[in-house]
Amino acid sequence: MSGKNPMINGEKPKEKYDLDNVEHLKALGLDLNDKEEKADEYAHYPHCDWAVIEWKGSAMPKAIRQVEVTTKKLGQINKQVDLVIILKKRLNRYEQKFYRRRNDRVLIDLQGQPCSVRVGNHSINILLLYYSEENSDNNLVKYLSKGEA
Amino acid sequence: MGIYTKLMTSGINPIDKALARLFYCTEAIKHFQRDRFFVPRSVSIWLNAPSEALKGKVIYRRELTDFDSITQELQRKFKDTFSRDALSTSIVLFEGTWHLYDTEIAGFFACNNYRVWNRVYFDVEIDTYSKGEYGDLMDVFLAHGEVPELAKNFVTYYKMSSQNQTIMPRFIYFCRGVPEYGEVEDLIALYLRDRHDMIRFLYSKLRKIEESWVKDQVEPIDRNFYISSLVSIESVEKSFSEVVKETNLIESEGNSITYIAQDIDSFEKFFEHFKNEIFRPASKELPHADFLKAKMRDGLEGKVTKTF
Repeated sequence: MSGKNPMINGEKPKEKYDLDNVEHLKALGLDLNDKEEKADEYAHYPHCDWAVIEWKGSAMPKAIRQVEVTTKKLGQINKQVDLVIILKKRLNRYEQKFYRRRNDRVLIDLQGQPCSVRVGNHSINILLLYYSEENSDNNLVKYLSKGEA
Repeated sequence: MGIYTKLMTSGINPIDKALARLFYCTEAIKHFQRDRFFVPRSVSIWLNAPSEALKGKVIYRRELTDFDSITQELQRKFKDTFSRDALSTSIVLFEGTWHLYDTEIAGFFACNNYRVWNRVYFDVEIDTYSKGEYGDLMDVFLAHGEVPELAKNFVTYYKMSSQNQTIMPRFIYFCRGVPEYGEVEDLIALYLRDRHDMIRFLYSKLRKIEESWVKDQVEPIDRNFYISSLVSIESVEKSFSEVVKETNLIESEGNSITYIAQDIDSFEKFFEHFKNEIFRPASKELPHADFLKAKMRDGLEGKVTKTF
């Protein structure tokens, strides 16, 4: 994992699970191993927000597959997921044609639809943050205050 | 990121392109499978995108019990079963486990037949999923100082494999992050046809920079004329070799050429040196855009005067 967690509503996470750590996976009862793609962290923020976080989203499709698999597996064992966050250095010129950020949601330009993970009968939008925004909660606060999460 | 291959596919029909991508993708798997670096586990074919979150749809999935027979099955599917639409929006994803040094990391090999996808992620994409300190495949090899070996062995294997192929690799990027033509940041190694190709690559980067001499003196000149004129000047060859040495790049020549960075910023330095020692002096005496415009105006006004 790469650094400081993003703050949500000005708060840092109170509880964190490193998904590369076997003990943490056991504690969660999560059936994921090193042979499968998975996100980096499952973290609990105050105000009951649980977030799946991918720290090194170097290319969007693989980062998206990682958070998607993890979120679905957490859903299967009835673990709450409210936010799915990908942290990335930047989108390159070609990726910018593909993915657009609006209220921090990753949008797929091709179909103009938010990129989301479906768990049971509800969808969780995937948020994209840049490393330079790691400590800035402004965007997420704005997002959450709209009651969209 | 990982290893991205761009093939020479212009003017080739979609089925042959898809078969070539599959060929180079499976050859790459075999290369890494040989030393047990990569063990493939499953293969899936997606339409539109390789993930449901990206609105992609999986239409085929198999466990890879027998790699060769599944490869043949995929070839048959491309030739006989797939509609043109399905073929041209498909992405073939081989997933499995990388065993690199002391680490096991999930990873994938992808053939990007979908044109929209292929423009961003190229024809064949090879990478790990991120894990802990490693963001991608290059991070692992960089951490162990083995990028030169990786790049040399991979390129040699690809060249041997491509001997009887009509479609050849055009570029192979070894890079952190998603590569971009003409972008040197995060580039670790680059395979291309010759030095001429490298100058084209650097020229593309040059055109992106905001410096007045580029706008005023380089932009008005036709790209092909500018590059071929530069290549024809004898001293450029010598300066090129000096810049390669100065910036700690390994240049491995054969029928094609591979550049490998010895420092993390070798390619960035290479571009800066090349710009200052070759592009800038070569462009110094070129006419400015304003001068050319004025000459065009003079010519037209002279013509108008003559008419009257």
